[in-house]
Amino acid sequence: MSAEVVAPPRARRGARIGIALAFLLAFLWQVYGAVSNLVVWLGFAGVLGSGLTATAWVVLLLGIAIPVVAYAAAVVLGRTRRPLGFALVLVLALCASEALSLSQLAFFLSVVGAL
Amino acid sequence: MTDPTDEDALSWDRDAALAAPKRPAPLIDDRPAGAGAASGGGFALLVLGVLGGVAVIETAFWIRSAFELQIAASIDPGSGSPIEIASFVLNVAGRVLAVLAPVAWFAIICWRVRVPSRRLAVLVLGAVLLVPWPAILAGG
Repeated sequence: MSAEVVAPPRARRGARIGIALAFLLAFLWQVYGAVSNLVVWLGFAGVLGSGLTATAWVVLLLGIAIPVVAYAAAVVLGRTRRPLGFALVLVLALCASEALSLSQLAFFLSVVGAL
Repeated sequence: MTDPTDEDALSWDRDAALAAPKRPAPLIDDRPAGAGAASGGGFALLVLGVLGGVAVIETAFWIRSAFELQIAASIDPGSGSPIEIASFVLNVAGRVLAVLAPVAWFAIICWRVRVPSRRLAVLVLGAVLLVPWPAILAGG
């Protein structure tokens, strides 16, 4: 009786993969933003004739790592859940990743960006 | 042993254990299923309220963070070409998600995590992760 209500495992697995791929696009967009940020600041430092400081490198690479780690953690933590639970874990990971990326950007601009 | 009502009347501990969690639960938890099990008593409700307040305050400061000058200036629609507009819209959507993060975290964790201790731990983790640094750094 419960088999009629609950979707078969294969369908749920397919739904999870679809959800994971859809969210992957959002996280990749964040990674793209972080990478372009790094590229822009490398160019800026190059124009000034000085390289990026070690701290700047660390903070900018951290910006790339944030969405990657958030996505990986969400997939690992949510992969055994039902599609709705899995999607909610990914929503939270995306929100947290956006917030942490903004914090990282603010930290970079106010502390490191002074070069 | 055979008559459970008699045993309950004599056993103070079990009586308290059965009755205590059920009384405060309906005040805040209006979920029908397992409301008594989800709340861990008065102290847990107090902590939950404090964490909810923290989430609201963090969201307010995230709104300030999003409008903070350097942060707001870090995205713009450029010259207004379709690609620049699209990327601007995506970036604004990202800022909206960042602003919503603390409240969304609190709501979804309260909704989905049923084990009180784990719920508390995840809520504290969220409160620590989602500190609105842009507003704090700008104010400092």
